[in-house]
This record gives sequence, structure tokens and C-alpha cells, in this order.
Amino acid sequence: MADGVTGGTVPSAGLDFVRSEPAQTSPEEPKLANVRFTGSGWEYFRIWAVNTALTLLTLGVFSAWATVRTRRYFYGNTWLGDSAFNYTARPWTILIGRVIVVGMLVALWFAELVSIAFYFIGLLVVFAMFPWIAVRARAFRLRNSFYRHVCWAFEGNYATAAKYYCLGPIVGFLSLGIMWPYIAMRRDMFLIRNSRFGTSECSIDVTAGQYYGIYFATFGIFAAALVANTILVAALPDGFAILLSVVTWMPILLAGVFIKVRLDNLRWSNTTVGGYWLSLELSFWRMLGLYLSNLVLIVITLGAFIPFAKVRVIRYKLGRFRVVRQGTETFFAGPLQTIGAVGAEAGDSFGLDLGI
Amino acid sequence: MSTVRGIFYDGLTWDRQDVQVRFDRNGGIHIAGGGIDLALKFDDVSVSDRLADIPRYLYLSGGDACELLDNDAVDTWLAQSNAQRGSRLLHRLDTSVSAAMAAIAIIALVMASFVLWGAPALGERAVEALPMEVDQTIGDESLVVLDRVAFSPSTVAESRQAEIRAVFDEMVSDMETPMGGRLVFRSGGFFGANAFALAGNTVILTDELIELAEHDEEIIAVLAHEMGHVQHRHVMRHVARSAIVAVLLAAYIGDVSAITGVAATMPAVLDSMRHSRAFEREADRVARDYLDSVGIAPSRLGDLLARLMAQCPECEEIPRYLSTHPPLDERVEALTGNDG
Repeated sequence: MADGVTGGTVPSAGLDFVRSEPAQTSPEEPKLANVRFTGSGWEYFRIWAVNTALTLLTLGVFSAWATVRTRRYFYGNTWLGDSAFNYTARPWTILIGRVIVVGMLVALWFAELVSIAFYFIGLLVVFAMFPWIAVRARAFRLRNSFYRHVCWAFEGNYATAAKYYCLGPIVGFLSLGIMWPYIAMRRDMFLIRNSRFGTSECSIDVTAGQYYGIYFATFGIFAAALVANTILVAALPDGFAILLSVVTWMPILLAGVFIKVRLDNLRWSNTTVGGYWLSLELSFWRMLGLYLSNLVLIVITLGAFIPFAKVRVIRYKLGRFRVVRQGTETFFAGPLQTIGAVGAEAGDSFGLDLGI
Repeated sequence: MSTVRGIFYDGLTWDRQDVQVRFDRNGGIHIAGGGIDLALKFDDVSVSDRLADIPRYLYLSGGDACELLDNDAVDTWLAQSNAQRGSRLLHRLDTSVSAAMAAIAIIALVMASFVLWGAPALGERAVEALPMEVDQTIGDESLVVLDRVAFSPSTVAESRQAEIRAVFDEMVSDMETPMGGRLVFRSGGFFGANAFALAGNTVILTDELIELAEHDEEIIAVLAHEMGHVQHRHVMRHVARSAIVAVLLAAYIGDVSAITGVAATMPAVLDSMRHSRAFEREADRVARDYLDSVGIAPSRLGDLLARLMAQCPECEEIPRYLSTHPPLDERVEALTGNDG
């Protein structure tokens, strides 16, 4: 979710850093900057209500504007040093992208009506297109993400993306999941190492051992929670269907929050942008508490708490980001339209921002 | 004429330059400060839309940009040129409490009508479009699963099974259901005394229920009820409705996080229980009509249900909306009454 709003772009750098030691003046001393989120739940609630109502009334057409407004709100309220991020995508571009995606789904549906063989051919085409969509969506997102009027960019190509989005799942499945953490690591490397801020490369330094550690721990938590869950379900009296549905979700919830927190921490804390080091220290318990309380409040308010929940999570996550810099550096803007070979022919005619 | 503070970026580096931006009444713009001195016309630039109070940018044609630090002053200036009417209207909606309340009312209305009427109607259409072979395949698969997790082979004597089957087959031909009916005997395991209709035409009767029945007419009544489910394809309709509601709720809640998927399942669970009560009533009606036509008192079904309930005293205390079946007294009344 937070990935949906900030994932690719939050880690960045700013000037005018607060020094870690107030009295220290040496330029070689590492300097720290915090990320701040200045949005408010109530303010976003009103934007969200207008977005959702207009999206429903326009049968989804407004969703492109809603996406842009939401992203702009979250980017524009994310401050690093004395500048905020800026999202510049045009709604029309996103709308065309969505129309194309919906058109493909309708085509798939028709294919199924005509013949089941066409349908499976269609599914294969979608499968083969998936890396292209992933690359294109990230490139579009980063190309429209600015900090101090310097643009982010993504230059991953289709062939490499196909390794992680098509071949990866197949290998992961055939190896009964044993290869999965390794594939996840390689995919993260692919996504980060092909990203740029201006002319500065992003890099990530992680080991397969770290990924295997996190996946094993997650599996352990899931298994333990499943056992506890089975005992709990057996102990529950009949007829508590609502309680039962919560309890049944518990193992997935615990394992899901755990792996998300640990992978986020690992990824961002080992990523650098130019000479800037990032660090993220999310706490599992704090995150679990946030999710659970959000869950309860969303249910009680029949969904009206959703925008507040989103702001709470983003504010916490961004508050745990640190940016450390060594020495001084200026970032240079790259040529704005270098999005690599993939999708370049389509230029800016449509953008894939599915809002996920 | 107004002047706002701004930060100028040259589009080459991320360096900031504090500037003053002056908007003239005739649409001219002057940017000045730190060696920058630009005079521009309104048509040369574009300004990002107002949204809450996030920083806005004045984009120049050459790739330069200027961050503007006073949103209200920029709005006043744009209003003079009658520019950005759409986004200024949106901003008024974003900041108005009554607009937010109206928006919430619209959302609630659309969602509620979708869950109450849209999803069932769509579900009916989807089920009507599905060939019945699909029902049968799904039903057969659920029987395989049930056999593995709950049931064991029936221990009721072959002759008794044949007796019940004969009555059942007669009922199926009387009801003239297009899909026919297939009766399966099983030992109920943790389901105990029970009868089920699966997707397709399969009806399961457990040994425990046969034992619990004090009269064969009670068994016929239960089978008639289950055939009501079969006739109206209740299982498939239930699956289709739940799936449609779940997709809608996932779309509505989805972007918050995968975790709130839990929250999404809850209204779906409540909704599916409401539907399931409606299905039970429909099956009861089918049973009553059939029992009437063959001269069996519809109260036979109520008798058996009452005995079932007596086996599990806490069942009656479940709140109505949590129950998948209508309250017993209500059902017995409907079964014995002559109307509706």
C-alpha cells in the first residue's frame, strides 16, 4: 500500500541537512535528514470522498484524475529537507492506459466466448506482456516523480524483466519455493539498480542469505500461527462466524506484516542514491498495531476510516526513513525522456499507472 | 498585481534559487532574484493545479520550473484569467465539509444499491449464462473434498437406502427439474444429522438424519427442501453473488493494504448470510408446494428441524444477522401457513 504511493520514489536526498552533531562543522562528518509527512487524515478524507464519489458517478472515468490527485497529495506532503516531492503525470495519459487495459480484458473475455483455445492464447499473451507492463508502469511512475525538479527514471528492459516476472515464478514454483527468496532478491536488484535520480544511479547491496533468513522466519511465524489458530478455532463455540473469519486470517496477517516490514527495512536500508545512504527502521509490532487498529476502525466506520488509515500508515513509515549523506553532492537532471527501449515507441501517448 | 515568493530550478541541477514572482494584471509574469530576470507571458507557462496546500509549480517552456509558495495568491491571479476552472472547482469541493458529506452519501448509496440489487442481478445473469455442466463439475469436486474431510461411507442398510431413493426419484420426476436429481448417502462425520444440496444436482443425506427422523415423511420433507436448492441453483447463485461483492469491496478498500482484505471479507460474510437466509426460505417454499401436492403435511419439515435444534441448544441464541438460516419459528410458521 505504501508502496503504491511512495515505494519507488521516497528514498531520495536533500540539501540543507540537519547535522547529526549540532556543534560539528567538519564537511566529512555524516549528516542526517529525516523525512516528514505533512498531510492530515481529515484533509485527505475530503479529497478521498470527492475522488470516490466522482469515480462512482462517472463509472470509473474519474479514477485517472483520482489517482493523480491522490499521488500528488502524498508526494506533495512528503518533505525531505526543505523541499517536497512532486508528481507530474497527466490524468488523460493514465486514462488512455486504463482504457487499453480494460480493452484487453474485454478482448480476453470475448476470446473465451469464441473458443477456449483463444482464451488460453490470450492468457499466454497477457503472461508474456506482464514484464512489459511492470517495466512500463515503473518507468512511467518514476518519470513523473520529481524532487527539486530533478526527475527519477527507470531503465530496466523487457528481456531482463521477463526473467523475474515470467521465468522467476515458474522456477520458484518448480523448485517448490526454495528458489523464491533468491528470485525476490534478484528482482529487487533489477528494480533498484535500473533506477536513477537525475544522472545518479541507485544501487542496492543485499545478499541472498538475508532474503532466505527473512523468508524462513516468515515461514516459521506462519506455521506457528497456523497451529495456534487451529487450537483457537477448535476452542471457539459454534456460531461465532465473524470472530472465526478474523481468527482464520491471523496467520496470513502476522506473516504478511512481518515479511513486508522486514523486506522493506532490508531493501531501503541497503539502497544508495548517488552518495546518499537511506535507512528504514520499521517496527513489526508498531506496524501490526497500526494495521489491526486500522482494520477495526475501517470495519466500524464501514470504510470511512480508509483515508485516515492510509495517512496513519504513511506518516509512520516516512517518519522511520533517514537519509545520510557523506560529503556534498549535487544531483544533475538527466534527459527527461530516457525511458529505455521498452515503450519508447509509444512515447508519452499512454501511461500505465494502475494505481496499485 | 501581486508578488509571491518562489524557488527557481534551472532544469539542469537540483540547486534552489530564491526568487520573487510578480503577476501582472495583464497576464505578464516576472521572475527575479539571484541573477535571474525573466519576463514571460501567461501563454508561455503552465501552472500545476491547486490541491490542498501542496507546493505548486510554474513550468517554463525551456524545462525550467519555479515552485510557488503562496497557493491563494496564485489562485487569485488564475481566477483573473479564468484559468483552471475545473481544478478550482475541485478544490472548492475538497475543502467544503458539506461537499464531503454529500460525497459520502453518494458513496454509501451507490455501494448499498450495488450490494443489495446490482450484485444479485449480475450474479443471476452470470449463473444463467453458465452451462449446467459447470454446476455439476463444481458439485462433484466438492463431494470429493467433503468425502475426504468429513464423510465416510453410509452404514444404512442397502434396502433402506433403496426405499428412500425410490421416493426421491419419484419426487424428482414430479418436480420436473431440468437437471434431475441424484441422492447420495453418507455418514455425516462432524456434520452430524444434516442434508446438503451441492452445486449441480447432488443431494447428500447423512445416516444421522435418517436416524433422527421419526417418520419417513420427515425425510421426504427434507429432501424436498434440498431439491428446492437444486432447482434454483442456490449454490451457484450464492458463489456468484459473493464473488461479485468481494471484488467490489476489494476495489473499494484494496488500495489501503492487502491486510484490510480481512475487513473486506466481513461485509461479504454478512451479506452472504443474508442471501443464504433468503435461499432457505425459497427452498422451504418449494418443499411446501411439493408436500402439499403429494398430501404430506408441510409441518413434517418443521418437526424435524425442531428436533435438530433441540440437539444444539445454543443455536437459537445466535443473533439473526449472524445466522445462515431464518429463525425456526418463522420457518415453521411459513411452512404450515397457506399464504405466500
